[in-house]
Amino acid sequence: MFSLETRILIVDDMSTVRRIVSKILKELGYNRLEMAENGQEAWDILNRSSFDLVISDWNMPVLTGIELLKLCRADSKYAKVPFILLTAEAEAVQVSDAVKSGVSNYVIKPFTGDILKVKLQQTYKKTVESL
Amino acid sequence: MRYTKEVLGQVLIFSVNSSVSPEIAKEISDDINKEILENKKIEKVAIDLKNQYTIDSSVFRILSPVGVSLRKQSKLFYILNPTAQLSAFIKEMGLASLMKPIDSLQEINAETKAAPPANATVFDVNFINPFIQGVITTMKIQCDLECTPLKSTLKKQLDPSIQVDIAGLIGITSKTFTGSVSICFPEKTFLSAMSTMMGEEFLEVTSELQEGAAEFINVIFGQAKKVLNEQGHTIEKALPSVIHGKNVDVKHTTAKFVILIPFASAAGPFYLEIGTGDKS
Repeated sequence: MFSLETRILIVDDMSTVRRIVSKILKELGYNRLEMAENGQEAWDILNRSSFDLVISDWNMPVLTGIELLKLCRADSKYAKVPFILLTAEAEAVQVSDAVKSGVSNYVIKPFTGDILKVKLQQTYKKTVESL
Repeated sequence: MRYTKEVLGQVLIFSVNSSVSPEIAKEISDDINKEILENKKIEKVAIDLKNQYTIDSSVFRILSPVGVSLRKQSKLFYILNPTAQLSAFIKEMGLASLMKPIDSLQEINAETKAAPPANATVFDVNFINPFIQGVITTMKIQCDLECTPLKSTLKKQLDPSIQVDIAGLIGITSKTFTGSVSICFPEKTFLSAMSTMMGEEFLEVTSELQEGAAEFINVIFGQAKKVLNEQGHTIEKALPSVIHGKNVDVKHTTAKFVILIPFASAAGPFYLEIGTGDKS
């Protein structure tokens, strides 16, 4: 599992979702959390500082989660940083887009803390295996 | 030779002689496009892994667009005789509707293409049920709230028996249906649901809390959209909005009819509204 020192950026235009994700992560022991309201704000934060994991909503105004993912994958600093998409869109075409763009994992809404925990474990395993 | 290919009836089959590397996937992908162009009889395409070879997870980035392209041409794509582990992976990643894992050529031959959906009407239960199921699932998972749909009716304007103080609304646009869907709550029900979801007690609907109504309808819409688009509808993405006030009337501006589905729950009543501008 990711170390408790992992720096995590949570991106969602809905403050309620940011709070839910943050609460779940804090319950798991993660406290190095930052939040962004959309992909553009997240990208600015990512460029100002460093993160070990990004958890982002898909469907957001200004810059979507998939656009943020593509920016990350094209940037040497974040090309291999684990990136989890949160999405209410569970269609195969969307999943295909995400896989093609290099997503590490995705969480389909609605989700519970247990689901997010399992996805974090899976993502960590994949990340370690790909090193 | 890394793979062989043959056409059996309407099925184009690629039989691999090793696990599928990115290079092999690219070759097969190009070959599929070429064969489809040359042979108009091909309706289905399969990659036969003979129960022993596998597909590297990175290869799905190459094969997924093939599945999307075939689906756009109303053709079906299969992973034939996959290992149990690969079959589970494809299903877990949600890729099964693009490249269905299947255990025999007979099963492929037996599969028929889904007929395109007829235009939906407001009373089409096949259209409405995914939204109802979306409500039940969302409220159960996000708010630990069991809810029961009650008898649907056509919405009457200003029905005094129905109180709505906050609602999440989202537009529906597709080739078969135009309208909107909303989830509508009395304040007490909404506060109770949000308190459970957020793990803290709320006594008033703050501006931050209002977003919860948008998130509810967003998630319900996402689930229904998946089911309906798998049936052949082409519902597009949309962003939700919130209506908040004392006893508000949610306007479905493009709708000729609004169907109202009340729900009973331990947190109190709430309502799903589906408005349609369907010309039929």
